Amino acid sequence: MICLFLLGLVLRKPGLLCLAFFSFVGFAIYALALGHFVLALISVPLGLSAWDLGNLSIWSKNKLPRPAIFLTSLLSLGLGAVGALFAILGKNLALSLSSPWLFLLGATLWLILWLLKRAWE
Amino acid sequence: MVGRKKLVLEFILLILLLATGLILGWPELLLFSLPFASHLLLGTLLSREFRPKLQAERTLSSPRLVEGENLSGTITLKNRGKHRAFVGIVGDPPLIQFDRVAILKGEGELRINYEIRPKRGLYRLSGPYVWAADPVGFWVWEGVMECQAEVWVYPRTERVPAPLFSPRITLATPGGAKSRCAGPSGINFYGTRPFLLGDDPRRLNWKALARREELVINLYEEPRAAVITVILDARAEAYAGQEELLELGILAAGSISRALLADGHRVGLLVLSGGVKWINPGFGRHHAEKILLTLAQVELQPTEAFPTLAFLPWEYSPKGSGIVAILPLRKEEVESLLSWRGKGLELLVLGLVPPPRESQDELENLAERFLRVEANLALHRLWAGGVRAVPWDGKAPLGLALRPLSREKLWSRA
Repeated sequence: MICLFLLGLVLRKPGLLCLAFFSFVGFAIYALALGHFVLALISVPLGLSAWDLGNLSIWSKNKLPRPAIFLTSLLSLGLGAVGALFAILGKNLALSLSSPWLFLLGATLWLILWLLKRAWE
Repeated sequence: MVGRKKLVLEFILLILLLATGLILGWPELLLFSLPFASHLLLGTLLSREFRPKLQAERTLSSPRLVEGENLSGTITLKNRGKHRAFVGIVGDPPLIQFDRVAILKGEGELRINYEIRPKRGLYRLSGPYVWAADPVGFWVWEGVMECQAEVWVYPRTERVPAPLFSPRITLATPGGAKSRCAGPSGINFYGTRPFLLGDDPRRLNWKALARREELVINLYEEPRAAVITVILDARAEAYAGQEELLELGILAAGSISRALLADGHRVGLLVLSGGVKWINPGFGRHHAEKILLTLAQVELQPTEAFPTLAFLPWEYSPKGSGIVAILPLRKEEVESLLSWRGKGLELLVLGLVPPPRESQDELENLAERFLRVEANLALHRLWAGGVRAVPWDGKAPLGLALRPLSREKLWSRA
């Protein structure tokens, strides 16, 4: 899946990127069913990144420049990562996570949001 | 898929995940939907800030040029907004086609330079087609950025000697036409006649008096301007199989019109294609520009109204004026051309013939020889009917082909 995603990025083929999205989401649901919660959550932002890049590439009818690919994939990963962190936080809150872990997760969340804002501007 | 469609699809996916998690009582699936939710919500919120204020500007090296000259242009797309945007720009039809995608930062600009050698014609440029999207693709805009321009590409012309005309009716203004009315005033020597009472004694020909021992005065003629119509045949039927001759015809029409205008004549233009394009006889630089602009837009078009030139209305050419007909030499048009001469118009024909080509195929060679014989036959019939006609195949300069019809030739003979 990672290879498919990377190949789509390097060759800038929208079809490969969209295929990578469906593979990531399918794998995430499978991993979730097997109980690998974190693995499932890691694959979702990657899938969302492939989804955004693929859609933009198809729509523009032109190969996206490398800085555009970098920016979009970074933003998509960041937006997905925020949700993934909230999910981990939510699951671990139920498992009564210790204070340092909670602090670390909160700081990471804030850092991602700040980076997203900077990248957008 | 971008914009509203993408938004709706992601929302449906999120609702499906949540519904499945709730129905199956699977809390992990509910938490699993959080990355989708954050992607959708944060992406939408951030894209709301994204409103690029795009502006396009265009510069051209020259809005008017002659075919064969280079035209350099620049299109600048500026992002007046604060946020960066993905932009795609497609332009500049019908002059040039380019397709670019780039990231424009806030207050940034994308400059596209191009240099082309356009063909003759009038190009109306509306503006580039631009699309802009936010980096994640939740907001898009596409449309044509208004920055209109017009580029006139005149046909190429050559410096040629003006064909000599001596039409029956000339204008009062001086020009290059040989006047048929000789008199005691004028510039060029015409002849002599016996002295009559009232003649100016200063015009007496003293040498003739000494020889004949009778009073003789000199007669002069004054070159006058005439009304001359340049007719260009652009009917598709006339050029069947030899479409490249149209460019020669346009070059000849432009060159001859300019030479006639420089000679002081009133020149009109009639282009016969799908319909009739007519420019009233006039003079001056603006008129020359008008003629060249009309010639720039000439295209081969089929016509049903004018199967032969005999159907052309005579109102276009004033009585006793001159006509320069530029057309492919075909036997079908000979009778029409001879009938023009019969109507008292001074006719001059520039017959366009294809240049000789050596082909490997014997049949093709034979066909070409037949075409050439047919053109020569048409030419001889025109000559026999008293029409001044010359062939031109574009290999030799136009000036050389027109030399037999020009003043220089006649003077050198004299």
